[in-house]
Amino acid sequence: MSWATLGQQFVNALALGSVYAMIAVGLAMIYGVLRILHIAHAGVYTAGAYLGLYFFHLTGSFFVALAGSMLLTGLIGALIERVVYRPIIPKPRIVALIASIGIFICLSDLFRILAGPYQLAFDYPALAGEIRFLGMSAPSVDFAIIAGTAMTFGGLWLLVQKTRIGFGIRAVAQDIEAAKMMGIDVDRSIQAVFFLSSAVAAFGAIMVGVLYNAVYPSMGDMIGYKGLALIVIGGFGNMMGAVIAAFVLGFAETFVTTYSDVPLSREGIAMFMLVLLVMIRPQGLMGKRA
Amino acid sequence: MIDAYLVTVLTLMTVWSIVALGLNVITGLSGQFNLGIGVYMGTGAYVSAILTTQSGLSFWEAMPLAVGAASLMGLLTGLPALRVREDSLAVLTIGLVFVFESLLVYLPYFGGPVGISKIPRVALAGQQLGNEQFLLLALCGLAVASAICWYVKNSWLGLALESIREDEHATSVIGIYPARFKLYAFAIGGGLAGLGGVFYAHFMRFISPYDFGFMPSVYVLVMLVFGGIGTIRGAIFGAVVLTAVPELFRAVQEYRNLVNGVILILMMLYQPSGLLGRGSYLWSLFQRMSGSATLVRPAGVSDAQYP
Repeated sequence: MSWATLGQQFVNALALGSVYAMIAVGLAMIYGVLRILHIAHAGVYTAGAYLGLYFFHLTGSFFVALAGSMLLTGLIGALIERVVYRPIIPKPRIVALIASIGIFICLSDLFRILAGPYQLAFDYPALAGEIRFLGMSAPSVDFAIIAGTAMTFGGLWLLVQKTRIGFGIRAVAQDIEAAKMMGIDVDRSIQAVFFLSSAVAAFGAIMVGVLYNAVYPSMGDMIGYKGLALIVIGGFGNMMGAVIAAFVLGFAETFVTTYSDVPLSREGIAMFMLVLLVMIRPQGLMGKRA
Repeated sequence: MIDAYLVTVLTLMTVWSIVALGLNVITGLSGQFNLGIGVYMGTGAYVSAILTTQSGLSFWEAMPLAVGAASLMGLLTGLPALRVREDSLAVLTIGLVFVFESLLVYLPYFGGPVGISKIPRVALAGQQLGNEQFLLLALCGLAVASAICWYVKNSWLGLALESIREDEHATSVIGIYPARFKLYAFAIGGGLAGLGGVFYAHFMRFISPYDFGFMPSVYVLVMLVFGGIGTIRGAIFGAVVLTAVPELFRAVQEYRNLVNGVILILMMLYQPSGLLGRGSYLWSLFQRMSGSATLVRPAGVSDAQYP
């Protein structure tokens, strides 16, 4: 094992962790305001990839594809909240969970019906090559993912911490009743959360589509389940915890699969680690003991 | 004589009813979220398949062992339920079903991704059972499973489980130890789902890891929710209807997942207690028609909703 391969693994792990973080941060925000497990986020993510590919073929511009897909996917997320979750929230907890599974199943079957069950190629030559430096090489998409994630998270942080709408989101996440009494438009804040998380997921999905040069109906499934496990590990609704957990998983998954011969698939290993972590620290990495 | 195709569909309905009854004990009665019922069904199916194909046991010898193994698996996976609850438990069971599937795929002993084939037919008194006799056998299994569920629900155990579902903290305050009863629920539910798995394996005579993954587990939940979670009639009704619908309408078969998803969303929006659940429109109508609803509830008080 040379330093060069170690460096490559490091870049890979960082990129993988970034993708996980983009999903997990959205799920954590949604859990923060509504206290629901948004399983359908996996479907929203896949919608982002398909929309991105559609706009890319339509316009030929990657940046238009990114912007268009993020906007539309954000609207889809907000629509799901408006149509399904809002009437259900006062009902028992399991109702929202099952409805979320329903949306997820619907979405993934819709992609299969509309775009076919096969993989579609996402060819973007500008990011297809590899970047070489210090004797190592890593896919340039990896760097785009890392840089994009940093920028997205920076923007998200500014929005949540420094703007009026972010103020509303933080208030709703703390105490929905108190926020309502203080005159905060709760519905609008929740809509904003769904819009933002879905847009971030779309960004991640397009990047993953380019990375593997493939967009297919079930591409969001595994990453969606992992995202849910990550917000549990991160301590429910804790965005920072979810992001840290995402990078821990990215590194653990990359290095365990490279440097060991456990007779399990990559997903099996990841899920096994997540199950163990949830059992050892049910309150999450950053959560306080209840 | 009935049509062979009809026998096949009826047998599948019976198998899924048994599995749905198992999930009903865990999620319906005691309120423990479980999105991984496939783990128990798969344990039952695989143990029975391996014992009959490799160890040369007969169906009758393998069945109790397989059900026992599934029950044990229920106990094992019930242990995390003592530490985490609600949303965490739902996520954890998703994780478990993926670990289970990936173990089956990667261990050659379990046949790898292709699974196990040539599972023998059930023989009784030296004679192989035909499909119709097998259906009768499965129906007997369903009768036993329903009886167990009925007993659990109406015994002291069921009372304890339902009280854990409604308020775990209050339950422990009045001296019922929730951990013990949760484990009972997981063991009983796991065993029932395992029984369904045994019938599934010997009916299909070919099983693969993907038969017991996340999606099949979700289907069972859909059946339960559709029929009415927490009730025996609901579990069976949901399994029967949702097995029949794709067979009856070819268009539905093509878009099976879409239809399932839409059913889930609509049910949750308008009738979260299920079509035949407690306090649902259809069931109240039925009770009124049959005159069995003698208890008149004061206005504004509804049946306790799940959970």
